[in-house]
Amino acid sequence: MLSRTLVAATIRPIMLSILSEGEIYGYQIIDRVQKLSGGKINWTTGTLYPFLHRLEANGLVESTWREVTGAPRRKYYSLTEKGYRALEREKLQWMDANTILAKLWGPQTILNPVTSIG
Amino acid sequence: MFSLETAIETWRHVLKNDRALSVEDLDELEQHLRDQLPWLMNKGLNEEQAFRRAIQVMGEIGSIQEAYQDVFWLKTKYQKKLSDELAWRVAMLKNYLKITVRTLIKNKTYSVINIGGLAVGMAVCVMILMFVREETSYDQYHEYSDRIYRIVRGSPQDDGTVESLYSRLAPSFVPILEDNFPEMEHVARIYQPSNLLMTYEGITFVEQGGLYAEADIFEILTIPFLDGNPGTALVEPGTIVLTSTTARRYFGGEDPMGKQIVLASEIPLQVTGIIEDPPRKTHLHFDFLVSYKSLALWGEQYKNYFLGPDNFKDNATIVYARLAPGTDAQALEARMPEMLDTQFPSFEMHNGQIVSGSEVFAIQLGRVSDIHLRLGPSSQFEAGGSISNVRILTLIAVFILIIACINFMNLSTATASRRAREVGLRKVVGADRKTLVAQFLGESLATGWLALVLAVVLLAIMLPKFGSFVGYEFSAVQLTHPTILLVLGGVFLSTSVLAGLYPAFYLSSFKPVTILRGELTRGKGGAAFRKGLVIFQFVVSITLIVCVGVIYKQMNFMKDMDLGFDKENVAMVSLDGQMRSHWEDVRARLIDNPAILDATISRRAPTGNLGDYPGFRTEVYGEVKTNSIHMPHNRVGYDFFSTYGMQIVAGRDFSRDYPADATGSFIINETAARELGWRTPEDAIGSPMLSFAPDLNGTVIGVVRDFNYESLHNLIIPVVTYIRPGSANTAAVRLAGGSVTEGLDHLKAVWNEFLPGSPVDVTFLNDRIDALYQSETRMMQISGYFSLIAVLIASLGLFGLATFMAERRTKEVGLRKIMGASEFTIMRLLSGSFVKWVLIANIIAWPIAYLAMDRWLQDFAYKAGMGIEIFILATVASLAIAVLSVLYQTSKAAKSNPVDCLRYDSA
Repeated sequence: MLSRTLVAATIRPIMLSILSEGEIYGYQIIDRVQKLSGGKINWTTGTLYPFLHRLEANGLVESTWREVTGAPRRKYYSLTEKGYRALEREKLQWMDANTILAKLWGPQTILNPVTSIG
Repeated sequence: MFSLETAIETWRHVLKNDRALSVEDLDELEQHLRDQLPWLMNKGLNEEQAFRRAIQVMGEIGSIQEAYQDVFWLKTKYQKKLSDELAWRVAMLKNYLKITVRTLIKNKTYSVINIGGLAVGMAVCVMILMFVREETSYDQYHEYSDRIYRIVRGSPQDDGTVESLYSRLAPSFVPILEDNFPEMEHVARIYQPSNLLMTYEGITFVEQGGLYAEADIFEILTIPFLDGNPGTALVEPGTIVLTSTTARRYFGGEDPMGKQIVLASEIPLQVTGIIEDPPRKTHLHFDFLVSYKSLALWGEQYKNYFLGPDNFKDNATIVYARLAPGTDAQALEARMPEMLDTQFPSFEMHNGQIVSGSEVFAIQLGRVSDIHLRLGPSSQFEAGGSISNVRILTLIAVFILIIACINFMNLSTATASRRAREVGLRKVVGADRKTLVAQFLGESLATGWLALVLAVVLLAIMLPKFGSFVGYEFSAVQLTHPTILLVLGGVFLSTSVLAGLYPAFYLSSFKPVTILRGELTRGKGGAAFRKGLVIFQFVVSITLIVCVGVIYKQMNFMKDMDLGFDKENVAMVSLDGQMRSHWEDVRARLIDNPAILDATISRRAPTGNLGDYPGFRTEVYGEVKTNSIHMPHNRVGYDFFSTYGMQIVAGRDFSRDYPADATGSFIINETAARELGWRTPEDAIGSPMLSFAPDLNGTVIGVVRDFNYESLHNLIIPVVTYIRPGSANTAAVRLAGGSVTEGLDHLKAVWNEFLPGSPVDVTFLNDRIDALYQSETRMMQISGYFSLIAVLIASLGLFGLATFMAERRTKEVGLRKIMGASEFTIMRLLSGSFVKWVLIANIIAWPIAYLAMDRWLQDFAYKAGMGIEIFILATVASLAIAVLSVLYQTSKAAKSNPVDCLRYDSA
């Protein structure tokens, strides 16, 4: 499990990245994050929806209610133009952070986590 | 038994309690919940277990709500956007409006004083503004109004200054001016005859509105032509240009162009142009213009007089000039003495003395647009306005406005402090300072707006009445004039904002806790400020009371002053040549009827101007005096003094029994006798008076009591009278008091006997005298009314403030009563400070009023004086107003039951 701080810190880049793949609804997002992280990140609805709404209010995300035949009515989210630009900025920052850590730890540290050594 | 739908419904219901979650949000969450169920049930959980697991995963309800709340404001702002934002603001505005209306209704007295006072103030201000605009816009319509001047003769004084005595100039100066000053592009002379007899197709009119004018007048004054050519219309002798009204009078529907009107039965005049009637706002009104050269048609003597090269003595003509663009009129005027000295190196006076030109003559230029208001009563063509009246009225308007604004501010700030609690509550529920300031300013603006609306209604009703009173046509339509709108809007905005600012910033600065605990120390500073304003209001009111008192006293004084003649029952008719030549017969026919007591003719009559003086040599106690005093002359027929009821104080009246009276007898007035140096009027009798005209020499036979020819603005000056019926132009008939109508009928009958077919235009001497003071009387009435309004508004303000203060001290009064204070003690206590304020205001106002009125009285030759009684009256009146309004309130407080007082919560 990731620490609370790290979950909070990563929510924005992860959310934007997932949304950048195309229209998606809330349940799918949580599902996808869970699978991507191997269960290490578990967003609650209380985290997910308010955050999505905040992005929407800031103009990074737009939403529509869609009724796909045979399925219930769901609210789908997608990135706006402004959202894509925000994602690009996030990416740059995280790359920087990653580069610093990579230099400090060396490439093997990442390939061989401490746990596997011990 | 578990029901999934019921469970979800319950879950949803709990979430719904938070307004941060909209229905949409709930739908989304519910769907999320449902999406989890199939997956969980696949893992072998039953429906109930799956539901419990799902809501567990979604998180605690409380934390969901919290998370939604965090983003709620952001979302609301984003989602609700413009329309909702607007709805919200409208709701707030409605709330403010409701509170404004409630406050106004709650404080009925203050509201009425506030709104009513300000409305009346605005209305009066606009009325005065409109009047001033009219008065100051005379002769502005001329195309060249910035460079057209009237050129007049001035009188050089011994101290080197030049006094303006005349509004005219001798005709022969004009060619000299044209030669010497090329910057005078056009110069034109006008001669105003006393009356002209005009005949068309057998009908004769006695015309008084005719002028002789040089053709260039159309290059100077703007006189639009309806027909004819301005360039040629008045060039030839025997031409006439009619105003459209006059043309209709003579010709009805016919085309007047080229038609002939006969002047004085001998001179034919051809109509060469039709012009528009002169507008209301000009100093020069006329019915027709005869070409100036037509004066030559009267005979050689006239030709020399008006068109000859050497008439420099008789200021007979009104002279106008248009200067070249950029000419400095003052510099031009400064060059006049030099020109006069060159032109007249040695000028021979009546007495043979030789002087240089600039010692006898002075030539002055006055802007045509200044004639109406600024060029003084002695130099006017027709009775004009007065710049000092305009200033007084403007001042009154400003005062009224200030007083009303002060009321508005005082009462708004005073009542606002009662609303501290409201402010406290608003602050507690989240109003920030900006919102509060906006609220108070908004309230003030709304109240001001009500006043504005009321003012416009008042104006719509009052304007036409005011207009007819001051002699202008005013209607509500004129309110839309940009200047008026600007003034109304400016007053509304500035007053409202000023009145709103103080409570807005003062009240919004309170700490809510302090207010709600009731620990608010009421603004001492605010009270001192209000006190200062009230004192100021009273200073203004008292000054106005004193001024109106002095003006009133002066006017009554002038009305009742002994003019030196009996102004009642004297009918006056203008005289033409034919009547003049038959005067002795006419007079005999007139006094046949017992309704007519006496009749006379004269050149000058009371209420007219005295004009020029011929210059005399006299001998006083053996000492020869030549032209020692300025002494105008009046040429009269017999019975002049008896008809006007003037009293001979020494010597005798003219009489047909003394043949010498017809040529060589003079009667001087008391002032003349005194100024010539006679110790008593009797001493003057028999002294010689010689003029340089061969037919004007003789002795003084009588001294007449001083009388006023001119308005009482002017001092009585020395006047000499002698018999010359041939120069007379006015007849005066004294009617018997009881049979005025009969006398008038007889007068008209006799007139028609001698001058058949022409209308007789009779005026009464007392009407003429009233007309002299008409504009002043009117001005006094207006100033009086408006001052009264000012005082009234100021007292209303004081009344409001007294009410407020008495109310404020209700608790104190209650306590004092319990401690045994009597009603009288309490009333004295409450009104004491007001009395003190009013007394302070009196002390400040007295010198101001004194100085102002001292200046105003300078304009009058005969002063009633100010008198301490007016000042005392003002003090008593102001004290009475203050004490009465305060007493009314305080007596209520003093008589009240102390228990009620103590219960009264003043916050």
